[in-house]
Amino acid sequence: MDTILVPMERDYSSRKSYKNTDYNRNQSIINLSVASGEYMIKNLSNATIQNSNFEITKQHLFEIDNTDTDSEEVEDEWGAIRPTKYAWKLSLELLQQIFNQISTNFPLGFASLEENGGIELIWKNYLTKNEVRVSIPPNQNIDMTLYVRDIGNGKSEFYASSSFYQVVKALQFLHQ
Amino acid sequence: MVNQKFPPLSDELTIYRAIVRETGWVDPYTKKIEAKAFKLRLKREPKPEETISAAFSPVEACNAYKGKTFGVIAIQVKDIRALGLDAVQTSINHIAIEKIPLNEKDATNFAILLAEKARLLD
Repeated sequence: MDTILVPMERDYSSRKSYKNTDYNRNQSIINLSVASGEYMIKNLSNATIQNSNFEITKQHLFEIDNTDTDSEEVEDEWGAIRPTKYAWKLSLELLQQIFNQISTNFPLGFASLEENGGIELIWKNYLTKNEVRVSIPPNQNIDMTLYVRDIGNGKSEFYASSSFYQVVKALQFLHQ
Repeated sequence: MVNQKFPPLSDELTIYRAIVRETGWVDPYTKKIEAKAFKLRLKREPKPEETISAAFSPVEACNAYKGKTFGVIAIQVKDIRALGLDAVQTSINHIAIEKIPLNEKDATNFAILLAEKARLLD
């Protein structure tokens, strides 16, 4: 049997794998967004935010960034503690592109940090339990992947290299 | 074999897993456990994760993360076994959820199913 990593036993032998990754170090997603002039989210808690699925989903994406802390650490025992610049920028771009394509039917989603500094964008149909999961890579050398769960036909599909078009099609399917 | 010196876990045993990220491990809309909490870290380097770690108590589940945890998940061994997986003791304070296939599709499928059986500890 291969070695099992046991956190309780402080086995760090195979950690520190992402040292060369361009983490979003010391600059939060929010700051970068404001600096870019593209996303003004300084007052997210204000009532000025449109109560749309797009805005709410985007807000959940911003919430996965932990760079408001003073910590220099970019990883812990679990993995990355913040997304890479590449991952969050691509995530924002993807959400915007999806919104441009299906604005009136933009499904409510949220985001999750991946162990390598990538970001997973998640959409669920809570009635059918179908799901769409898009894995945004931490850098340009890794492909975006797509997972689609269809309880109706009892199958799930995984696309190791996914396109924007496939993601939109999957999201359109989600609430059909 | 790693696990020979420990007896099989009881079906009725509840085991625990720490939530180690503030967001993304609990569905923000339903407040139920998200699949991320049980997803094998297949992108980890230099080698992918092969089992999901758990502990015998909530405190033990959090110990490995130096207090940087955001809740504890509870799941029963019988619910894990009902999925065709197993939970085995690998050390005095560690349990491994085993038999999850090491590919993204199946790992995600099982993560979703495990999350459906799990609950957030009050």
